[in-house]
Amino acid sequence: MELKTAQDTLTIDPIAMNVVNRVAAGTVLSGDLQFDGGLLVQGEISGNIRVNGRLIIWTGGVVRGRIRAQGDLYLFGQLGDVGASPHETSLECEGMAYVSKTGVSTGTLLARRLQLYEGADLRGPFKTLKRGDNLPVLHEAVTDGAP
Amino acid sequence: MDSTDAFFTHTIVGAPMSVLLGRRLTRAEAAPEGLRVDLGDGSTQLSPGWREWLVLSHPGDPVGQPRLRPGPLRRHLERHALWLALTGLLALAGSAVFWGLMQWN
Repeated sequence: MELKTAQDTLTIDPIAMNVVNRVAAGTVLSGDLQFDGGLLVQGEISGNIRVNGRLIIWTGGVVRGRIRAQGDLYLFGQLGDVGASPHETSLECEGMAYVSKTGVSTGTLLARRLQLYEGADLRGPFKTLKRGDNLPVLHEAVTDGAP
Repeated sequence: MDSTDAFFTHTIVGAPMSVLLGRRLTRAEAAPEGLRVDLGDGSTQLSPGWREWLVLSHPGDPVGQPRLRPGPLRRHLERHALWLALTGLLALAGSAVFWGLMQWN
């Protein structure tokens, strides 16, 4: 008989977790975006995105492009387009990445640690971020060509 | 975060909620299944998920060729294996009882 472990639940407290930003379902944002504090994505965002906090991609939410999150990542939705190349979307997470049973990732996922849950669909590569990794700063990259 | 920020966060992002992440994948479950080859000494070992398959299959059989049918004695023994096992267990139990009584007297 196979011994099944208990399932994990996550309590999301926006105030305690400082998740002060939300992209609601039906909303589509694109471009160079910076969020001060955590972000809950229920709609679609794409582009060069920087999140100074936790990033929660909710079920039905889609994130594409170059993303950098300073906190943990909770993936319930979709990272990258279905069938897209892993190079089209990359997410650098300086915390721990949790990919839940509904989470789908077709992009490149970089994180310090990874926790997969049964049913998680990790189609793109995963790379471990080391402490010494010199991560490019998106803000600097964006303003690099500016006068 | 002051009370105004907390109010707007609570209003816009939402109240605290619990969501199911799922069953945690352990390292053993995430590991690939198959034949493990030790590069040090060249020994091979099957992962647990494949051992049952090995027992039920016939890895030594040549591919595409029928196996020899077992002989009549083996078929007779296999057909009556349960009775033979039961007889053996009863004999063992009877022997234990017999020798126990002998020791008791």
